[in-house]
Amino acid sequence: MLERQQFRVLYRDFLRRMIDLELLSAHGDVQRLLGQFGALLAAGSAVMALIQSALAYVPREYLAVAAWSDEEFLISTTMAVAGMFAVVSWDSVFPDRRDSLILGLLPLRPQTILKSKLAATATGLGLCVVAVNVFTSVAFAVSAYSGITFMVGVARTFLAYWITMAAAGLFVFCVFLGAQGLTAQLFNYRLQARISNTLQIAAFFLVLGTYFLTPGSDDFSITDPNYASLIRALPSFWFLGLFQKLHGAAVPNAGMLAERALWALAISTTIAAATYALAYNRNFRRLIEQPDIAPSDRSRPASRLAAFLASKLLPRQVERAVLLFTARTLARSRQHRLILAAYAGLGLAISLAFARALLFGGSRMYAVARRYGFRPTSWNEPNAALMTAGFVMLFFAVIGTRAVFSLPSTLKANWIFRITAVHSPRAYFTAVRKALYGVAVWPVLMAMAVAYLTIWPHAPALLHIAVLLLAGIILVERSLTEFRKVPFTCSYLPGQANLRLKLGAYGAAFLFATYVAGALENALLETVARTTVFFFVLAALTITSRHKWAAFAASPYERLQFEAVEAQEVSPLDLSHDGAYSRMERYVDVLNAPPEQALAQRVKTIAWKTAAATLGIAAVGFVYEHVSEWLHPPPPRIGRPVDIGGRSLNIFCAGEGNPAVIFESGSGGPGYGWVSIQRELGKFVRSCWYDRAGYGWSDAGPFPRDSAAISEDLHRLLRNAGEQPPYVLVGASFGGLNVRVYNKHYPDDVAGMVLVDSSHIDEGVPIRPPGEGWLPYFPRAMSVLALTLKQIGVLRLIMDRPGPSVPLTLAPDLRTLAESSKELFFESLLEARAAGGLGDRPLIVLTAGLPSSTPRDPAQARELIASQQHWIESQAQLARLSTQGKQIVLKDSRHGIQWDRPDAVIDAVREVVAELRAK
Amino acid sequence: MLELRRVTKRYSGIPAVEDVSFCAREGQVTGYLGPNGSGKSTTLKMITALIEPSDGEILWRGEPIERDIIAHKQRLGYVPEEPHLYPHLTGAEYLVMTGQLRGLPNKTLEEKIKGLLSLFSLYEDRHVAISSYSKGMRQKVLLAAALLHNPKIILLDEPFSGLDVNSALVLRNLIQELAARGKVVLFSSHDLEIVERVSSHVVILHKGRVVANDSIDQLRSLMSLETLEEIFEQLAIEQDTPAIAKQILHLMEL
Repeated sequence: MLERQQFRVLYRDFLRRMIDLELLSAHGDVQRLLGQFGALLAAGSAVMALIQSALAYVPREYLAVAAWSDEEFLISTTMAVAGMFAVVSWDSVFPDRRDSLILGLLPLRPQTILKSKLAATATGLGLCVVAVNVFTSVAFAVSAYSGITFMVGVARTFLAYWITMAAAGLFVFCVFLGAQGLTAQLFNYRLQARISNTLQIAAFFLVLGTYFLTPGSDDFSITDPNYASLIRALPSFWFLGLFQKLHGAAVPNAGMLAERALWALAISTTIAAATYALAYNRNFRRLIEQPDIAPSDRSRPASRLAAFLASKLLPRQVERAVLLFTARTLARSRQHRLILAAYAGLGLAISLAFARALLFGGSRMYAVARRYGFRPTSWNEPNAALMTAGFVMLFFAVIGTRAVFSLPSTLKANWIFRITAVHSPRAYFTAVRKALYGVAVWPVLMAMAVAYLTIWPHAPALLHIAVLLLAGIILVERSLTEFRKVPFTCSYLPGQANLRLKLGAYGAAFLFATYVAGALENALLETVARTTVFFFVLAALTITSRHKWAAFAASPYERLQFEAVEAQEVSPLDLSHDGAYSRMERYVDVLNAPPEQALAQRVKTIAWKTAAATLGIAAVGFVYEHVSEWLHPPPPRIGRPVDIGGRSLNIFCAGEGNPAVIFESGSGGPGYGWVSIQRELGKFVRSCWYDRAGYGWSDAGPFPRDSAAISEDLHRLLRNAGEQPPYVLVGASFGGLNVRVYNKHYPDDVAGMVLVDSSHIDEGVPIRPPGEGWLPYFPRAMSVLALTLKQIGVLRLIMDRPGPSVPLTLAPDLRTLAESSKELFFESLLEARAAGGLGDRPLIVLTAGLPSSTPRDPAQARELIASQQHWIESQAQLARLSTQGKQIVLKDSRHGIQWDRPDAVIDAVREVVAELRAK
Repeated sequence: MLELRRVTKRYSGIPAVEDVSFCAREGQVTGYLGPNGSGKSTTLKMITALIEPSDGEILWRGEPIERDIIAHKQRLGYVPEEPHLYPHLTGAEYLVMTGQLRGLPNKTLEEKIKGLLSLFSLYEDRHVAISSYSKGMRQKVLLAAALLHNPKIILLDEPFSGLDVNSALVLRNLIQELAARGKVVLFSSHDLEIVERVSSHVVILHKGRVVANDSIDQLRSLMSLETLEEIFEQLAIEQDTPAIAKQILHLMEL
């Protein structure tokens, strides 16, 4: 009876102490914190459940295979959460000194303490596993059940799901518990304590690294026998096998994988149980004999070096004091170090996730992607993955350190800062700012600088370091604006959920921005103009951030803050409970705050400033564009202008022999692109290329530019140029639609046709009829926008490439690019669909066999291959436009067949011409 | 002169200190006495500006201290009742940090710290983390930190707590010497014998109110009592102490 009561009391206390209470202030509410943590996991579960519900739409015969990927993802997520729980509860699974000193004196049996500790740990682990699976288990069971009847199937899948997740979670937890137990067996107490700290941080990195880096079922096909050995090595797949065995829809080798899972579970639990029981007893006794912190000499070289650097680099004593206090607390407080390590681990994991293609690009997983043009990046050339890694590490270093600054260390000792506050708040704010630079920005930047300068050429490495430096400044100044604390000296109120969410959202936005910036930086630093603009923007942001911080620090209303105060405790009437906070410590002074501007006034100010900035930027861009045009005039005209009624189009014909071949380019491509093919064709037939209205050397045409208008232009041009019909029309991409519409309006002029990977949409797919709602205005607006962007230099900034000038065909000039936005694609598709066929006239359809974009990873490679296959099949419909039509698939060509395989175009034209001449 | 005028501190409406008025003069050690919970530490914390009075004024040379709180903190040295220190710092690091926070120049600071650590017998342990210091060693660190900047006002809240006999004797002489050099010394302790030896003037607090404020000699002659302990018993102790001891024994044996 007594033992049961003791068990209950201890169980409750241990459960409450699963997380480190010392980090919380006196007002800290553990239950609220735990509730929020659980809610966060459950929210993640709800999102995943929503994604899974898509499985309900998968036909049942494909379901087993379609669900594998989701199952594996859910299992590895559960394992990661269990691993994180093991890291967070690292110290609480063993008795600590407090337990030994307090419980050791009470008449308690060691078994009772052990049992209640185990029960509390199991409850914590169970709650984590339940929270992360609460919604997914239901969604999965309902949408991917296996069985004959719905009820039995759902029940079976549900049960299999929970057994698997519990087993996977227990396995991971026991692996870490076993590692801890083994350490306790092998080393003496002091060494164990030290190794355990390192092991805890290593475990954290391992959990995150494994979760983000292990190849998942997206990276390869589970049924591919090539990957059987990899699958056998990955624990998440063992438990996938177990699930499949229980669930009834088996993946290949499910039995073997399930067996592995069971063995792994048995071994890990046995080792954990044995070493834990032994270590528990041993630790409980020797804890009492050991001091918590052994007396040790702290005059280490690192500490002396820090003091020396601080005295040389920082001009004011208060700055030195704050920096050294910050650095020493970070170095010596295990809790703070661990939280900082958590941020660093997260940063590293995200960096690794970005660098997957860099790490695995040369492996078998990427073989298919490589076949379709994926080129693995090498470490020693500037690449987006490593650039992003720099941003991410810097971001997490600054944000993590800033977050750790808010957590108190020995809160009761903070009186010394309060009583020695003999400087203005600004002096402290400056000191904290310098401390954040000192402990987060400079070390990371220096490490990055060494790394980048070692592996990359100096110029791009230095540029990237400069970008990182500016990003670091922006981060520090932004994150410390309105930060009123000396690090580690202010009480902490957990449960400021809104703030945390907001910070999380900002963090996610910043990460996205860094990802984009990292990916774009290669391109941004390619030309001097772009580099200038990029640095100008960064410098502007840096100055704004600095200015904001300076305004905050200089404000006479700001005070140092030593107590976390809930927002509602700040009363507008300046009333407060006695002792809740003092007038001298108050940091929000509602009555004395400077008057806020009215919303309308603020909007007006912002609008004016934005308008002025936009005009200024546009003016600079305009000058840039026109100076560049003057410096790089267009090449001399090739071809001749032919009037088509108030405006002229440029045409160039060469060669002799009927029927004349007319080239119709794709969107944005001037006629000049056909020149090399024309040279070859000239040996046996006359051929002409021309520039569509607005392209190359042709005048712009009126809006709208659909296939009907374009074919009418072409008709007039050919007539006025004196080229005699009939013609063989060669239409590439969008040009394919134009020649089909030309055939409708002037069928007598068309003798045959070659379609070069022509635009096309499956006959069955409905095309939204144009002319409804806002849609007709959209292309017009886009064309106005494109022309405006050209005028203010934005198009040049984006399109300009360094190096030797590229032929006009590959880099269409900016005017052509802007004009091509007037062309209406969907209207032209509809017109082409209604244009009818060619009867029995010759038609050759050339189809690209390769996808036009390069895959980034194996999953994308598979998608691209599938969609290209579909494209090839749909192009067969084009060949049926003529009874004589035939399709040729070019396996080694992308969309631009005229550049990848000009010989194929020449052969096709030769064949059509020969057939016509034979007639 | 440090003067408290009708100072009151209330927590949620309940007074901890009420209407406290007294003066602590330069060149004089003022003993501040009272039973547990009588409001001694609260008063000292109000003088340090760590907490703010609900009512009344604290004046330095006739000027309210909040008029220039930074100047007030500069002239203040404080030894708190509880030795709350940063355990991860070493004794030397803690003192350097305190000196730097007070803006003392490096050279003077080094010299002072070296001397103070030697005189307080802490020099050998200067590079050891405070977490492994004994209670007495921590107390010495607090004393050294309070004296680093040569303050004009010295507030000592149970400064003898944990000190060995040797250090206690040093401190006793030091307190008298500080007063002799024109400092304001306000000294709170439960050890009435030491207070009687070092203080010339005492303020006795009972239930948050001042019940005596005079020189010890004056109090002796006024109350016709021999020792400070007798005076204190008369003014601040309402309970029948032998009877309470007997009741405790009775409860133990239940």
